Amino acid sequence: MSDRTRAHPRPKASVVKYKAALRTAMRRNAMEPEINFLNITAMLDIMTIILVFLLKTLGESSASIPQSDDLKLPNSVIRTQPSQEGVVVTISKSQILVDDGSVLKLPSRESQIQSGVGARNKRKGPNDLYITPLGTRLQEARKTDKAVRTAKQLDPNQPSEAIIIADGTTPFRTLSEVLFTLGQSEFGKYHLMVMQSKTRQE
Amino acid sequence: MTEKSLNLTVFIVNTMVSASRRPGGSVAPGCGGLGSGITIPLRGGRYDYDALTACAKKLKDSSPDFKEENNVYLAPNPGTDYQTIVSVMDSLRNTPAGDPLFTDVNFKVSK
Repeated sequence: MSDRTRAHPRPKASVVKYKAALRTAMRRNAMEPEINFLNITAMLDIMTIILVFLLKTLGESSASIPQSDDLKLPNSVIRTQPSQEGVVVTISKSQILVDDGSVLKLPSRESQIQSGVGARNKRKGPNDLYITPLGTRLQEARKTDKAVRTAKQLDPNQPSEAIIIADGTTPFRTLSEVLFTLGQSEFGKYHLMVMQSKTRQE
Repeated sequence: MTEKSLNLTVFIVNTMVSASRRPGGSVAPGCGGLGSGITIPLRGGRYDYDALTACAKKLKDSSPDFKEENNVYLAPNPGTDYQTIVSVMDSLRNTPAGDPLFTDVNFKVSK
């Protein structure tokens, strides 16, 4: 009986049935599409956001001030954030700078205690507190600040701000002359830059 | 004599820190009241910042009128270095516990 069955060829299927069976087989045997590349666009987006966030946080948390033998900031336990607004006036051991441009060379510390930055840099002799070359430079900065305020639609008559970066050994005589000259040049708010420290400096 | 304001001035010289108040006069040694003498002498050759903070707190707490007073005047010696001025400002600004004392610092210059 089985021999007889083998002897008869199976009836041919129609083309339609053949195609349907073929589609079914293709579907059944189809493999999952393989990911053969890595899309890093989304990852780059995340990295960019993190980078911008880190740079912003770094910029807000501290100011970048190079420390050297000529300029070493005093330590303080203060915890407020440094100001980013204002004209930068730097008093190192050897010179005074405004926005990284040298204004005058300083005499020895002993001489500064006696007569500040020296009589030849003053308006009316050694006892005067106004530093002429610094005042000239600050008045230019004040004009620029006024123009910026006007462009920003802020009150240009408001006093400008200054950031004081001074070496820890600067005598008060020199510091007071710089502050006095700032006041005379319509700078009314001063930010004293310090290094944050956990303990008070003895 | 009114007690409305303290008008505290702190003098910094090479050998001590002295304080005075207007009206009133010099703050006595040890910050015990009014009187002549060195308010806070050096301790071990260094400025005694802890004693200065304690003195500022004692003066501020001495009258309810002074509770809202935030101004203090600094009159350093011409040779006083910037680090000492900053440390004195730190001492006068807050107590170690973080309570505000005299947060607005003004400089006095002798000509």
